[in-house]
Amino acid sequence: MAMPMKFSAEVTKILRHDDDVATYEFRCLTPRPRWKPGQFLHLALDAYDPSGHWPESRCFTMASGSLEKDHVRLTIAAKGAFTRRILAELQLGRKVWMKAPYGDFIIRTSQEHDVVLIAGGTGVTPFVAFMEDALVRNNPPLMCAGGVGGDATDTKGLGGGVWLHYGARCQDLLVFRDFADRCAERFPAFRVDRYAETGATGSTIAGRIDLERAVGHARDGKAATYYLCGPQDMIQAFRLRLTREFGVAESNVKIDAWE
Amino acid sequence: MSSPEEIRRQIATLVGEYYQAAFAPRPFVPGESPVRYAGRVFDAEELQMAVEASLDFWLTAGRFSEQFESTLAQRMDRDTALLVNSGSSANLIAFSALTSPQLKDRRVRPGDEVITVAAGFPTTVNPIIQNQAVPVFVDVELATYIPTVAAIEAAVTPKTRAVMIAHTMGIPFDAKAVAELCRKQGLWLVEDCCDALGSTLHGRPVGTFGDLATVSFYPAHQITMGEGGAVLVEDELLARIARSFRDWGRDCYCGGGENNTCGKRFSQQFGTLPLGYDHKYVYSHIGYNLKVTDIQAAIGSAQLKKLDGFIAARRKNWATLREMLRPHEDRLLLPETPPDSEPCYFGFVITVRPNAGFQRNELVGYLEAAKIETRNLFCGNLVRHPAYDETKYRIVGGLRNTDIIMNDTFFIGVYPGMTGEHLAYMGETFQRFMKGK
Repeated sequence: MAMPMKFSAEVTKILRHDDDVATYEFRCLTPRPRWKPGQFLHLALDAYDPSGHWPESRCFTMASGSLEKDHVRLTIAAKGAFTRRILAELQLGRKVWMKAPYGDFIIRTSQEHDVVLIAGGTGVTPFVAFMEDALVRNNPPLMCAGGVGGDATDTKGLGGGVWLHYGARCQDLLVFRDFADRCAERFPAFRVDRYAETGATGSTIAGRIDLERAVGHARDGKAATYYLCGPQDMIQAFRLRLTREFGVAESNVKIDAWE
Repeated sequence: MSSPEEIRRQIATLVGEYYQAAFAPRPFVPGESPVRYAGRVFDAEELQMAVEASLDFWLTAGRFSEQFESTLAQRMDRDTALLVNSGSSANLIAFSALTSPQLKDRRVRPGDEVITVAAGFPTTVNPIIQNQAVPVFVDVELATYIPTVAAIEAAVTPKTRAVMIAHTMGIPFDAKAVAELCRKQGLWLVEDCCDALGSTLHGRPVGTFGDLATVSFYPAHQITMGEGGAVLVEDELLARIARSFRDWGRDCYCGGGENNTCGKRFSQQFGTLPLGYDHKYVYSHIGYNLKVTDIQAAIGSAQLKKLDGFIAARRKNWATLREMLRPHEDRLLLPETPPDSEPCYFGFVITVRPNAGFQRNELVGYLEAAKIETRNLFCGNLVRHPAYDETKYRIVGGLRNTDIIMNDTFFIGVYPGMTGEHLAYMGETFQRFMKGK
């Protein structure tokens, strides 16, 4: 992974989606590292003295690309005491410490096969980073097989297609639908299906993410690579179905499951 | 009572005063003052940073290591710079990383061949042997002391898995062409840049052409932290493997004093361990512990700020010596710079020509008696050292020039601590020796 480093940042914008979900924008006060779409950071609330121990923190996937150097976006859902504390305490102007980047849930597109991104609720954040980087440089990152461990980076263009299947409890909680729609408009190889359990309007499909549809839409769905991010129950259920019901190789199903 | 911050400020001020008192420049006395081949060049900031890190008493890799690694990675245009305790350790980690099972069919296995050179420092080659691969030696050119791409290409066989070569004495081998050769042949390339921090090729830093690169921070090198080195790598997987080999072979990548950085410390499945076995103690490689202390990194951070000045000084000193010794080119083979390169020279390398009328050791003895330090070009010909008597290796195309280097080559300093007085004295001393021959 790139060099993890600690940096401080200040809250510059808060967007409350409902009582339990909010998106925060931060401006970095010290240099921050580069990251790849899908990687995560640790956010601490308590004071940090760089000569001492790192305080209690939690993992959050960056919902922002790496190209805008002093900017970080996080979408945080209340899941436990610490995340509730974040939602209660993070106000405009609040300074916090972060450390990043971590994780190998890195979205790699391929010349040969389609990539299917499946996002439940705030699980869309790694894919937002991917989309934002693509939009900023007006070129979807192509990270194709063939390099070290299949990790070589190439930016010539998108070979295989990318499908985003993005679902939430209600239409209003599809908080990054604009990103997805802009990406789909800009890049013909990037396509989006939106799902909302309630309040679906327009092209949003009513109900939960339809895995059969996701597999069926991919060019050779059995050979595609699937990135799953969202509630644990959804991830585990989809993982089992993809490998058992649809015959997708275990290695082609990527998940990032924190405790 | 003063606050800890105030006491720190007072200590820093005192350390600055100590530097002025203890390390004030001494006048150069020709023939009495030594002209070193290398040496640490520092000011009060290095001492203050070392004390600052000591007062933290974090001891293991901490904030200064993080700062150093991040700055070095940025400077070297690599995603990752992993600090280790020496350049030799960096070579060991870089090569060992290539043996990881995580690289699947591209991993280097026992008996695989690795192309390298025998005219250099042993720890470029030793990791190949320590990992039970077979070094395949090719000859180098005189005046540049690096191999040609053709020599490397001629040594490639179906058993070849990697090329691991040093930019010896700071002089870049054609890493761009070698990287292209490696890409075509499916070989790994490790650039040993231990002598070459600051050298560039085609406008790019050496160390950015291969899969992995290494640098050294021993006091003789371009910057120092006493003992220290780094592995430079761009690829995520190789970086993670290298970190694992550095940190006992563990799978976990938490830094010192950190827990659960991965967010799944107790929920993963590894090998036949029970589900959720503490990730902090899961081992994916047969690794080492080759980390540095934060005190070393603090010194290195101060040195890194001075690197551009050090590079410029080394180039200037080299050019001055090159000009001073030009009149003796009929008897001394003077160093050359390869095309499209801007070396950050480690030293000024001289080979005594066959018709010089004197042997290398006569000249070296004269210089040493005049207090001008000299060094051989490291091990000369590695395969002639007793340590390698029982080592399995192959030589392709003979090692004629390597033997010439062993017999007739040496180097003198160009390090930034040298002054115009030193250089002038060196020129005069060579002149006196030549006149007497």
